[in-house]
Amino acid sequence: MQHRSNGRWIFLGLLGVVVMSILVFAPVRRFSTSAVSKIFSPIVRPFHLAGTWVRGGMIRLSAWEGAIANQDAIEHLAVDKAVFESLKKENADFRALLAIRASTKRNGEYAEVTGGFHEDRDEYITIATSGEIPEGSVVLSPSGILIGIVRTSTADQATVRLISSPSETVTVSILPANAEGVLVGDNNGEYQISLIPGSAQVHTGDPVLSAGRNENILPGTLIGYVAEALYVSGDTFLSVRAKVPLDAMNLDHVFVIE
Amino acid sequence: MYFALFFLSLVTYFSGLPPFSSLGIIVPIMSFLFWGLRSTLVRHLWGAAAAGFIFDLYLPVPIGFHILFFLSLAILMYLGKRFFRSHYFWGDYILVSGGSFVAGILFYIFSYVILGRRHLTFQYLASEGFLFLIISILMYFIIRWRFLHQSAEGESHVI
Repeated sequence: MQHRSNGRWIFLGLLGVVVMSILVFAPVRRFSTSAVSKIFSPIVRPFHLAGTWVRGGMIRLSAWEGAIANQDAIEHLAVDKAVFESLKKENADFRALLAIRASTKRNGEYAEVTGGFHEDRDEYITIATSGEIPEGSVVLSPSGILIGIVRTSTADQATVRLISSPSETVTVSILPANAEGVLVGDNNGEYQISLIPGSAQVHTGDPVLSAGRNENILPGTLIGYVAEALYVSGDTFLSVRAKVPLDAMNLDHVFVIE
Repeated sequence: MYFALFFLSLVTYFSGLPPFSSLGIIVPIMSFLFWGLRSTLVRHLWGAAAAGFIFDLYLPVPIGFHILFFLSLAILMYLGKRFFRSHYFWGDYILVSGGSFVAGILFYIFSYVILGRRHLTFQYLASEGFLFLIISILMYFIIRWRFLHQSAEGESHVI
């Protein structure tokens, strides 16, 4: 009995040492995060692939083929309109933009999505990377839509918090009105945009682009399109909802811009 | 088997596999407590540290946040088992379901106060409460099934 009790204290002491080492010593933390992600990520990945397959099946079950084609068309229309409007704007600021792009020569990576989950109201995806990506790097869908920002990173994987999360805030510009506001996620495949002046001419379908006031996020990156713009008499600001033209949880690859 | 269930819940949580992706963190928490019913304190604490570390690894929170959270749950479960001494249906159900409820409250307070997540509105809490109810009902049947297959003389808690 005494022998068993001693064993228990030894294991508890060992646990205390391990936990304290991880909390206090950065090299131990780095080594253990890398080791655990190397072991855990390959186990999660097949389940994620199964999840992608199941979600794809659910979409096909719940929608008519025409609705799916419509969704694709809306996505492409949103992208095309955004490109057109941003080209118009960029033309005016061409020299300034060139200077910005030249000064922000940044690396990019094409990364595989390995998982997705949500905690509280925030939504995350995990991606496999070839090295440690700086936190704050911007993540785009393959069609160039801003979907999230890297929030944690180890040697071979990173966690991206989607901008559909209420914890992420992005300054945006709605074209062609060129009205600037603040976008916050709403977990619903929709964003809320605040601080758009009541006098701004914002209409359903207008593209929402990043305004470039957030660190790392280049101006003119497409985020979504306006789903509804309401002006309540007496209010200083418009109440604007924007829609995401894709399901970020269902992507298999993304672009990471460091 | 109980540990395998817990590990599977962790994997499915991070993978985004439907319907587990919609159920949220309540499933790993409840399966962690369920495993704790049949596990010794030392094993449960090690599992708590490992699970907490995986959560800390994936989420942008201060390192140690989830480790401390799961360690506190393991200690709460230990105290609960000491209190009830042996397995009986409602005792086990309260340990798992009540433990998850306490965990939810703790998690909410930690998130709101330490992480400053002010967007955790009442509407959100109501939806989480609904999920908790669904999982609690599911847990009722799992624990009941376990009791139909245990020794007729009853079983003491493993401490």
